[in-house]
Amino acid sequence: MSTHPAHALPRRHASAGASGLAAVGTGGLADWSRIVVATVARGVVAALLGLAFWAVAPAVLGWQPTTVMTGSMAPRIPVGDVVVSRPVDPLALHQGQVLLFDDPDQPGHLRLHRFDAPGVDGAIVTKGDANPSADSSPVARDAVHGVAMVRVPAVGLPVVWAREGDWAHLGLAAAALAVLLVLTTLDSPLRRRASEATGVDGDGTPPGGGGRAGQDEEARRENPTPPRRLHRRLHRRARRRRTTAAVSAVVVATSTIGLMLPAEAVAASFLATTSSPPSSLTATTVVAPTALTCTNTSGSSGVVIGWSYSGEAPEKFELMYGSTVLATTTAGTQRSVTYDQGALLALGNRYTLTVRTTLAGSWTATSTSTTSVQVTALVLASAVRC
Amino acid sequence: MPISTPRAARLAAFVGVPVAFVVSGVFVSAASYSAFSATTTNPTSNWTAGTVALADDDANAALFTATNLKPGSTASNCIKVTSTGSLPSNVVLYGTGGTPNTPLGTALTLTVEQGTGGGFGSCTGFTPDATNGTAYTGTLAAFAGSRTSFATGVGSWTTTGAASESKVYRITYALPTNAANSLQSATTSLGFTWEAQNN
Repeated sequence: MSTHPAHALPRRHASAGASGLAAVGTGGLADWSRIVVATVARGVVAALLGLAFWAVAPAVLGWQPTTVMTGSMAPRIPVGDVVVSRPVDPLALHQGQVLLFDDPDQPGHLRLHRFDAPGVDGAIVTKGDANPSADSSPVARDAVHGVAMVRVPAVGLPVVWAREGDWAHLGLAAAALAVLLVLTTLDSPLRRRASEATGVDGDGTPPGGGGRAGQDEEARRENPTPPRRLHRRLHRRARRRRTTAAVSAVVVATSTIGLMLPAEAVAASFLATTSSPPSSLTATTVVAPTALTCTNTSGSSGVVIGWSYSGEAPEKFELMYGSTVLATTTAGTQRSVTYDQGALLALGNRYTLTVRTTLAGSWTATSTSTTSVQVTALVLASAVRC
Repeated sequence: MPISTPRAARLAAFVGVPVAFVVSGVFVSAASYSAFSATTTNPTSNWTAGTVALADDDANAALFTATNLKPGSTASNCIKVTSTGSLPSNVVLYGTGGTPNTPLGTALTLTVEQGTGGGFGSCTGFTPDATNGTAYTGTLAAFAGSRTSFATGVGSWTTTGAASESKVYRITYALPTNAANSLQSATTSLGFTWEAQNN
């Protein structure tokens, strides 16, 4: 944009005199540029305030505004948006709705995710649109604060930046806002001129009165009276005060809204999982001895009980009569045991014996195969015979 | 009659602000409509805000496929979990799948340690973390029953999100020497899931 001193511009208001013409002219390029730039700047500021208003105003109805802190609901709900949720009867919730609820995984946090599927016991399984899998912790219905109804784009970005310590972006945004606020005052000299014209008219004729007001003004300027000048100065001062007050009000309102928003920050969680497939663990089955044999020992008074075994090497084998252990091998590799302690058994009877595998601890298996022995009387002692 | 600049300036001042305010309202309602009118999720991955990503080195093989457990049987295996997300996150471990709630599952003890060194298939060089090195000790069935989600998961690993980070988990099972004889032939199974959530 090229700028020219106002006096250098051609004047369309031909009837005006030599001085004070710019006061109420139809204006030059510079004046119109000022108006356009200031109007656009005011529009942007008003739009920003409007967005902030929509973000905060529903709170009056009990709706809950929250700032989206992560992109787990992207692209529909990007980071920095403010989402306003409306309280809804817990039983009226249905699949597909975007819900605001207490984060089941991080106490004190809020989460904004979609109702993915109904879970057990009326709970709700939720999922972030951008997450590959559903949230692992189901949500109880009474933990749901509401259903997202209003999305206000981008106004929460300063909150996100502040939370992340992104001061560069925050400073840039503040500077941009400051520039914008300065730009809104670009056309104030024009407006002031207009209102001055009105003010000194005394009869309330708006500046739109055009040429006539301009000529009156001009006439007065040519022959100013000290009280008038004083009055004008006071008027200008009052106007300046009002402008300052208005700007302060805007700044205060903006910062108030800005401070209200971060109170409710949402961590719409991203999640990722990796799994190890189910590990299977199976306990062993203890193998029992088979094919029991009985052999009389030659030259002594005992028997040798033998068996077959095809399992893992056990701790030991035991020769059993019922639940009584008669003899024990010293190693799991043995396949026979000698038994000559006839004193343990009563004389004359025939006893059915089994062999038990003791694998480890109390894990045992008793043979179904049996063998039998008999205790016979010898001269000085008893003997065991097959 | 051509409009005067002061008049235009005042007009713009009076009209511009309400118009911008109304426009912002329309904008908000349009944004809300586009975000909340659809009730289905569309699988998307075109976001750039940040990610949480987690992987392990098991090539989809189970940590244990053990048979013939007997009293006193014990074994360990390690698994290396890697976080490559760009957001700081908390990673926890919990049980998923399988049929852990069996008599054998109740008898087996499970120990989960987190540390460095080793990887899937070999715990050689594994060193538990000096603090919070043991994430869980208890029975396998109790782990599966009470550690079922991110909220109840075990382990204390916080990633910075700055670079790829790994943590090795050593998982050990043991069948006590006093395990009951009735547990012969019993089975149990359990899967493990690591979950990362940005914090």
